[in-house]
Amino acid sequence: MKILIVDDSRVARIGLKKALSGLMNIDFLEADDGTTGLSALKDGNPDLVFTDWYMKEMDGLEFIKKVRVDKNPVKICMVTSEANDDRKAFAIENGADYIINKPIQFNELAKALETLIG
Amino acid sequence: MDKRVINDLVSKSWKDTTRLPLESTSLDELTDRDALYIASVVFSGESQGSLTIATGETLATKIASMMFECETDSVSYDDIKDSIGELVNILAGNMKSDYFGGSDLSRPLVMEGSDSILSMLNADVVFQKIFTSDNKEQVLIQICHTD
Repeated sequence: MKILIVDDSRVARIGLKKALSGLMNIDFLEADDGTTGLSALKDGNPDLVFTDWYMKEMDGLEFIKKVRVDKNPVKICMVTSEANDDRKAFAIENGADYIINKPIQFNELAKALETLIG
Repeated sequence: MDKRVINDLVSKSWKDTTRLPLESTSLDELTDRDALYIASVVFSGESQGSLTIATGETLATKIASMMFECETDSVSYDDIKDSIGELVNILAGNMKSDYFGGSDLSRPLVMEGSDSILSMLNADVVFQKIFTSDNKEQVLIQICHTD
């Protein structure tokens, strides 16, 4: 399993990597904004992507839109500190497959993985 | 804004993110004002305001240590900036839908200084409280709102 994490906060990327590593054996790719995320997606061909919403240069929503314009079907989970129902619906409408709240709870992350990759 | 609800929301988000305690105090201002780290997020759009946290170097270093899961003596200046920026982002995002609906969040702004006081012009301070965390180190959490 190869997972790309796109977040402009290094501590957020490290926290997510540690949490995911507790659930399965994973090779990680990292990017600190949507622009570098697109390059990492193209070069690394991950099975799953976790992206933050607000980032410098290109935010997570724009990143997802560009991925979908390119017809890339990779599963994408949005990670945000404001995962209310409206935001979830908006993210899904724009191409996200799942959305989870920060701070990340272990059971919520496990549920996301179960939903996204079975 | 219900200050008790905000207090509970802030406390839960703080503890879930940092795994450090957060206790209310009756202090009106920070008495430990050396080497302050200040992190702020601005709400803009239909509802405007800001959320700011300010704390000294000791607690800022502990926050980074807990969030990076490393020893305090290996925490760098950049680690502190990243950690308290991410913390204020999470606190703001967790309360945005309840108190700043229809607004956008800025990326966190992190500043450092000493004996400094920040005010948001044309805004009301709707929540301001001094908490103590691990070993009684102080942290100020302030929320401003403007219509």
